[in-house]
Amino acid sequence: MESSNLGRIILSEKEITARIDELAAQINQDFKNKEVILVSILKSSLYFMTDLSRKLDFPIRLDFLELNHYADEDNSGIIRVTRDLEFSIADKDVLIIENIIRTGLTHSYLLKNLGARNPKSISICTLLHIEDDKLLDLPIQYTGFEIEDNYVIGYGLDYQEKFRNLPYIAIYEENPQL
Amino acid sequence: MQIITISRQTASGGEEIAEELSNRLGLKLIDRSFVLKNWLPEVADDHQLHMLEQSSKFYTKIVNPDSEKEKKITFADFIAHRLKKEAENSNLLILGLGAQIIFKNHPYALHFKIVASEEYRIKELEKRYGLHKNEAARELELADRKHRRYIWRIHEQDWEETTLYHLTLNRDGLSLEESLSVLMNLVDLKKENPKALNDNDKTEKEEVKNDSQRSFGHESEKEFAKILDMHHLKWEYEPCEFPLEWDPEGNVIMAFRPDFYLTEHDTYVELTTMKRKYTTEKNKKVRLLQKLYPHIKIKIVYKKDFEQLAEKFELDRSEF
Repeated sequence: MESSNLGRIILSEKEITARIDELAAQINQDFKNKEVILVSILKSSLYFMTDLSRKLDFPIRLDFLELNHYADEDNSGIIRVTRDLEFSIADKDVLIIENIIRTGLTHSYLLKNLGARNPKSISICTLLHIEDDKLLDLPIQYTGFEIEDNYVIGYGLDYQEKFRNLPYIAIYEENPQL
Repeated sequence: MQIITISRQTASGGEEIAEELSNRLGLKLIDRSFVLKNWLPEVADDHQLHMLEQSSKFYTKIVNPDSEKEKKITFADFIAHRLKKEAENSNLLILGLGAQIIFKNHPYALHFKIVASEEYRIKELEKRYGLHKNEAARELELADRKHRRYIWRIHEQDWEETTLYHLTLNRDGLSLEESLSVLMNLVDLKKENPKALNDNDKTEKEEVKNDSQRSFGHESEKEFAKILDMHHLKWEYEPCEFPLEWDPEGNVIMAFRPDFYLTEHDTYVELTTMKRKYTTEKNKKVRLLQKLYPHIKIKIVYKKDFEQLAEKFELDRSEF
């Protein structure tokens, strides 16, 4: 692991755990007595999904969705679902579990894609939210932390597939020697 | 079906031209009073009808607030929908109502604007309503402002933009008969060769489609368009210009044309490839735009944001 690129820790393991407890309490209240499909967006939200879901006390079903971008020759392309849900979400309450929302572009597509399947409701829970003005304003019901617009790694977030298994969230330093 | 739209400056004689032209060509005349009397009572109560008579802003109110979000429409949407429906079965002459924009892409629509000098119009008001010259001038100023605001609020277009019309007719020195003759000649000519006003070798369908062959002002705009396409976002490139400053005669002296409009998010996007410290002028324009048109959503994508997007696009294709 290129630990030299590992920058300042912005959220410790303890801070993440405490905030997830708070989020879970809020979600438990909002979804009391409902059956909810939790949709984890792979791969980055895997850790958040496991930690959060274990603290929820209403009936849940876990499902996973992966999006990917296919490039054409001219470097244009399209974002597509590469691993689709196992369950039908028609007439179900859906809670999307995401690790980070930056511009809102991917999530705009996600909402459009899942919305077309006629769920009863769709809510978004993101651990991290970039506090700068978003390109797209999306309805986000649950936010763990507002953070500055830096490249961050750890707790599921990667740089070229590395650093995902860090228990905390840190800044990725592109040029640590400078 | 044939459609003629007439926009007119107050007291330029546009009403009498519309009435006479509709009689001679056998077109059904639809104007605001027709709509208020025959269509709007279907969806508006007495108070709302009163407000619709008085305020252009009220046309942006939702007709059906209890409906699902995607089914909600404004009074202006309702009128546009009814006009289009009516145009399927009848030949129409539409006076006002922003019809020149509603039927902008219609191949059988002709759009006329009737104007006249202030002097001509003041005389008309003096003659018709016995107004004093100063009162008439004030009345004209208010009426023109109202027209402009309506078109801006509802259609985000500059009413004064001459390219919205096939022909702008100045009533100074033209009698009613001469004016009608000019207009009817054009109607006859265009019957042989119908074409939408802005149809410069492109169809309406092509305009809606995101066109990768479109010529962009800057390479970064082309790249940004690719990123939007990639995320299945519908967009339009530089669809309209917002006037920001006018000279005392009402001519636009400063305007702003955002690069993109994201139709599903009702959001304009301005892309800048300059470093943030050099974007003062652009920021000033955006602030002014937000002040003058508070209902317009606009986002600036700065150089750094764009580079991050582009980089992310290369680096990690799963998360933007």
